[in-house]
Amino acid sequence: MKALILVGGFGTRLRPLTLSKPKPLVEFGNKVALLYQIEALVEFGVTEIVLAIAYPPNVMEDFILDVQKKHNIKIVCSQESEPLGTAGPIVYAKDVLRTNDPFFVINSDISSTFPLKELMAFHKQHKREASLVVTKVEEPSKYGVVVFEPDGKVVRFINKPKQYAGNYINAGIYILEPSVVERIPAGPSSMEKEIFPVMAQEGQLYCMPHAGYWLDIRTPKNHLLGMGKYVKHLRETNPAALSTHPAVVGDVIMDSSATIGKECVIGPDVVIGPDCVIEDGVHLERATLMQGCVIRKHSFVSDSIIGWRSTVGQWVRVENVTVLGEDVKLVDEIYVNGGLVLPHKVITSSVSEPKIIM
Amino acid sequence: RGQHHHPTPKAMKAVILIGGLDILRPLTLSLPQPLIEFCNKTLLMHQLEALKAAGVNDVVLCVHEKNLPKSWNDVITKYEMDLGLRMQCSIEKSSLGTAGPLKLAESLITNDGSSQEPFFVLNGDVLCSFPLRDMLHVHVQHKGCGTVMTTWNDEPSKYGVVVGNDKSGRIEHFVNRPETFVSNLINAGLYIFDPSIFSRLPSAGEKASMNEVLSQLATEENLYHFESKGYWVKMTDVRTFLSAVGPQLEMTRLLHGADLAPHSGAPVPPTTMIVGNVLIDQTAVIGDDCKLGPDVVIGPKCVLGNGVRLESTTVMSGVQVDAHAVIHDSVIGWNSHVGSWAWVTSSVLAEDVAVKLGTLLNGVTVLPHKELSVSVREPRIII
Repeated sequence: MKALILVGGFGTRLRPLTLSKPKPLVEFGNKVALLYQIEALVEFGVTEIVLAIAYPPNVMEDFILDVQKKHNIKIVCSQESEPLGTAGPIVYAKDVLRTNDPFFVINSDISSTFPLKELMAFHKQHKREASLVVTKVEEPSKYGVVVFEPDGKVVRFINKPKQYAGNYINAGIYILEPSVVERIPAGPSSMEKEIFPVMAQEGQLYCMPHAGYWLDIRTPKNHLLGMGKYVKHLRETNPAALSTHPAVVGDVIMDSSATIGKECVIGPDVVIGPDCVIEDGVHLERATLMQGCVIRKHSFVSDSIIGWRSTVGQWVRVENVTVLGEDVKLVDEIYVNGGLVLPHKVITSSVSEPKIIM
Repeated sequence: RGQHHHPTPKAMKAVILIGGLDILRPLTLSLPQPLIEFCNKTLLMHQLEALKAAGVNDVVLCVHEKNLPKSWNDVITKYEMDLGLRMQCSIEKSSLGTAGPLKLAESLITNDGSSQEPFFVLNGDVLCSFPLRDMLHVHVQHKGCGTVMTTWNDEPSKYGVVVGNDKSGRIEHFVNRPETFVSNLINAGLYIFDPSIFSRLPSAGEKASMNEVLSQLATEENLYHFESKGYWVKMTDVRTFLSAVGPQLEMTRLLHGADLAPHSGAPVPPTTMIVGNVLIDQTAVIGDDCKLGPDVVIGPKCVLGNGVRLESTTVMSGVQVDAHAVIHDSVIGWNSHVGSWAWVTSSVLAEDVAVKLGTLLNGVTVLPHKELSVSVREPRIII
């Protein structure tokens, strides 16, 4: 069986991190984001994965070779030259996908559990053209809302409803029969706006609610929120993956190569990447530290992402969805409030109001 | 009222005009202004010690009735005993301006008319180097009825401005709040007057402006000035109060450097860094790996945890600052508690304020007995 992962474009909403790496290769919970989808597909037994990307595949090359070798699976890229929306890439990749069987389509911008076996069993049972995973969220108006009957038959599919229509949304995980591809016109098009609503009317769309956690992680704020849900999920399903270091409070992922000083408080909801150095008296909460970060003494970091090989000086306070790009330095004793800092910058004075430092 | 000391020859009198202004709120919600500690010594003590060093042994405090706490007499008695000065109070019941209170205190100052000696007048809201002996020396040389201390200022249009004769020191022009530029030399609010000044003031109980009186005296060619080269700050709020700490500690460093940390005060662990001028009371407890200064004052019985960063900040007595907290440009009121990793900048905390772990306060003024557990990023008063 095959799968298509919709990777999309430059990931500008995850800048400045995506100025250094393509969006799917940015780490989430100390693992390359795309690996969550790939590993779920490998576990299911998929033999070939197509990545639908909107940029040259050479930046993904090393990663792809690595994954192919490690998991004994074939990965190819379908490169779009213009943005094709959420449906366009599927028909565009038709020749690369080349299948007569139903195939998975997964959105790369989500952090979730992937109930693929259950979805396939559900799909075989109703025998219609498409099966969607749906998930319950608190703010459905930003997504595609799905109204369905108890057996999973979708009666209505409303994209970004202005009036309340229900809390279940399209989770971005589907199984499509090859016939769905025939429905999609060439060029840019949207599953949520054009394809799914029609299929719902025809009774060809079924959905399966999903009980696990789900979050779209396209923005730093959502990346951090998603991390909170992910570590909670680990606590329930694989607590050995969480850190038991004495400085830890709540759920924390800490790479074994990281070093932690004295009198630190780490957590809750913190990820510390490989080779990070946390000096004495540091307090981290709801923060992600990418590989090679240094947080110097007595500093306080909350609700922020510290990019690869960045250094936060002594007695610094970082908060409120600050994102430091790769190799950023914050000098001692400053305050950064919601700063988006581009790679290789040195910040020498406080940023008291959210802004972009270019 | 008060003890009666036999004055020594050439002993002088002084008047301190405290009046009714309450500019150091919210600190003055706990203590009257003269008893607020500035660099670990009450404002009143700074003034009294400077006066005593200039030969004063008899002080009259002019205070507005509303600023008098119940225990005022006990306070005064203690100062009398500790300093060996006589202290009396002249109490205003209404607002008398900048010169009216002086007239009201005439009989106390002149011993009911019997004393002809010159006397000092200090405005209670002025912090400065108090060069009173030098000023007295200048006063006794000339034959004028008064000497005004002056100081160089960048924004003279807010004050009484002086044009003085360079040789004689006589004031040639005195202009109150000039609209066009006259000079950078302003009335610093410290004076020496002969008792003849009382005949120049309106009747007791009437409002009067010192700058207007001085203006008139200057035209009569009867007024001299003494330019102080030391620091000068007129307190208008806690922020200006705090801004005087730097110059005051620098003066301490020049005159009594051994009084500053680490030479004096509580022991400072070797891992803790002292930067610039820092004053630490000897009963404070300082943690490891802190960085303190410049311009930091730590009061009695304060406890600092490890890794605390204080800069341009005064911490009043009994304050506890927990590990890794950062405080810049702030005053932390008596017995407050700042939690670990708190971040406090440009703020004034009154008595007994608790700041929870990790909380950020920027530009916040907090009234007494409050607990803050949510960060406040925009300047605000927390009542």
